[in-house]
Amino acid sequence: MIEAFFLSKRLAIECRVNGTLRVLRHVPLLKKLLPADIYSKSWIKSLVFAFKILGEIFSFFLGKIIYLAMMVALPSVIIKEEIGSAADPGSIALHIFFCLTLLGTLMHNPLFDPSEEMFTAVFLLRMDAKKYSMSNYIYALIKDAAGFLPLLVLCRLLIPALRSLRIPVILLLPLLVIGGKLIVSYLQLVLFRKKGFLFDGGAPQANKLFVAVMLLLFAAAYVPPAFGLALPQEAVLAFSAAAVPAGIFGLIMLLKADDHRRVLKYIEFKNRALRVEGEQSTAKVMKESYLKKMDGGQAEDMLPEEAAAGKSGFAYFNTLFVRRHRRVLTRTAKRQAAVLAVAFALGAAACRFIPEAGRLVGANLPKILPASLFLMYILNRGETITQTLFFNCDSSMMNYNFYRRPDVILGIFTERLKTLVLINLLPAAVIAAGLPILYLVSGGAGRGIEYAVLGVAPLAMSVFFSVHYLTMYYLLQPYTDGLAQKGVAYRIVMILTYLVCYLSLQIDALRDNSLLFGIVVCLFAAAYVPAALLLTYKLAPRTFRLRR
Amino acid sequence: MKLIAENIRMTYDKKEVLKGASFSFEQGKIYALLGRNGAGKTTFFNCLNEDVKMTGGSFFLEDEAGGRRKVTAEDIGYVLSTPVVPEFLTARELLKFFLEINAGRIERPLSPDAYLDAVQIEEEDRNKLLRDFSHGMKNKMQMLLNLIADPMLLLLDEPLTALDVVAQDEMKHLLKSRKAEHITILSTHIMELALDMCDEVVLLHGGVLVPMDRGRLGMEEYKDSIIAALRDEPAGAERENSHD
Repeated sequence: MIEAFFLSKRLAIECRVNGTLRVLRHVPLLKKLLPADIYSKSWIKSLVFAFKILGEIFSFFLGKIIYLAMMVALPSVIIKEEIGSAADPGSIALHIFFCLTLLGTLMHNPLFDPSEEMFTAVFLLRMDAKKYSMSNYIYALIKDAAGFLPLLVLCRLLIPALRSLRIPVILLLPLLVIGGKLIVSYLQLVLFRKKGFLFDGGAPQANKLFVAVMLLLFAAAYVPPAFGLALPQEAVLAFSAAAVPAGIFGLIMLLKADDHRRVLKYIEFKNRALRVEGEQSTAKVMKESYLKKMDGGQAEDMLPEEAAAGKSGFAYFNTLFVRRHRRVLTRTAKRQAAVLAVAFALGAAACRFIPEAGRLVGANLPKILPASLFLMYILNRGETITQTLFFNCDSSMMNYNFYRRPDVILGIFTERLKTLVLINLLPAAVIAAGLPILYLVSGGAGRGIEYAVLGVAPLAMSVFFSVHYLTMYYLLQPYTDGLAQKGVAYRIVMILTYLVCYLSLQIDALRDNSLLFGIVVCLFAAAYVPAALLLTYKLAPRTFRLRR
Repeated sequence: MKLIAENIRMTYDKKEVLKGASFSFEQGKIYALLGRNGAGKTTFFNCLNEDVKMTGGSFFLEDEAGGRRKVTAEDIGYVLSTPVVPEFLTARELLKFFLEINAGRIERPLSPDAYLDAVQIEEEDRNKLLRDFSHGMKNKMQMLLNLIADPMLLLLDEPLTALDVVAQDEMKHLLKSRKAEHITILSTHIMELALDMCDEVVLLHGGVLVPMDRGRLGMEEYKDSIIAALRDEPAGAERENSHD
């Protein structure tokens, strides 16, 4: 089994090293430096390999530190300080950790992990399924325990608020984690033998119950402590102690079992939609889900779409596309608009009836503009929509030469531009109306120009993002069919876009000059949009094509 | 009309796939492009279709008077072995769109249904989404669009493998019936298809294009000579000559 483990780990790391090298070879400048036979150059491989090992060790602790900080420590502080729970802070943290551990036995239990590496090792290279999954599972559990033990002990020793927790309780917690996972894994296997499915989010038979249990455990973690109720240390200690024999029993039974391959086959089958020819991109998954939902997987006659009636050419084509993909294209924007409208209505009501809230909003509302850039960035559907356009339409159409004629490319581009701008304007319009109204209701004593900027800037931002995503798609066409490789130039542009939006959220100076910020954003959009469109009309016939 | 490939070169990283392939393909003939796996047949088609940027060389169309012009996208119809069709449209809708945006470019256009009749797509299938079409039916649709567009040059990559025997036979006749006005190049691994349908066999071997003249060889001898040439065995004497 140890041999199988090292073999599979080597394979997994080899796959990841090669994947990294492949990505590096797509970076324009590095491409020249890295030779084509880089995959056989041992020193480069060793270097990347060493980084991967470091990453593995790092991930030992990093993930757990983030988990403990965000899921346990932060909520504990909020429950104790902000809500003013009567429970002792150590007990609150312990209670949360305990409940989340139970949740983890179901949600983060990697024995039946549908990874690409599992598929390669077990199904392509015909490695022994039991040896593969058990050795990797035991490794993952040891990693869990070895990561948690020092972190939990350190927390207990260094954080004064946790002094009340007894050391034996802390020392046994890692055993609770792995013992719990082992016995739950065994129970999953028993369920699979009896009923043919696993209790997880993916099985339709158990889907709803699974979500309910998750929510219940989640609520159990945070709600009782808020009311001053937390599990006593003795109870956690008892559970942890019981988890030891239960875990040993689970481990023995799992090692005795001989149906690992069947379970893996089931998982592999279930996750095939996520792994279409090694394709993991959300777009492909989105395509699968859209196709299934559209007609329940059944072939049926499509009625002529009313919306397309009377249209011809590019408009006809685009309308049919939009109608048949409305789940992905328009539904989210509609929901965003509805949620925002409700939020603004509630905000306006609060400003109207609670004078304190009104004063607060009236004094601070214009300062929200820089943050609204980030909000508009989050709300914008541009990237999802261009992905849908590529995977569900262009990747096939671009194989026809008539589709690559400049007049066709630009004709369809124009139709799409209208669609994309309109879709994104839906939530933007709500914000553009909501902000000035909220300001007015709160008794904001601003000048007319402030109202104007509050109303115009969100619209300008929305149009800017719509144009930005669509023109970048046409100019850099980043997607390849079958592989999730995105063009490096496109990726860089998207990272820069994110950075700019994120910085607008972070820089204080912007908030103090938000009126100016709003005006600059509007002017920038007014300059960017025509420039980007001009560039697209000039260059897209050459740049908009399949990457082979 | 002739399609002239002049010294086509294509290098991926440091590997030279096409090493100065030159050939003159004539109108009125169907050419079979044969080559071993990885020989560069698809690369050759992709170069011609401008899907990849060639490392060197050029393609021309030459008319009877010897006037040369560059090959444009509209001169080419490229039918892929795995059919790709926009899955969100029905057969009728795709044809309607296609006919509308090509209005004025198609001589004597027919109605969508007339075309669907011609390739025998049943009435009950015409309002189905193309994603629910079988592999063979998708292939028919792809071929149909390329035939309506009527480009001078038709590139077919393993064109008949997905079709049933009857459809194969129909497609063969269709391609033969229109060969007089076109230049047709067909890439395949099926020797029988190449010999049965095509007027000339061209090997893509060692990065160059080599005509395989049948001469006075019997069918079996001809086949053997092709295989020997692809294996680099000396039996392909003619090949040695044409290499130069």
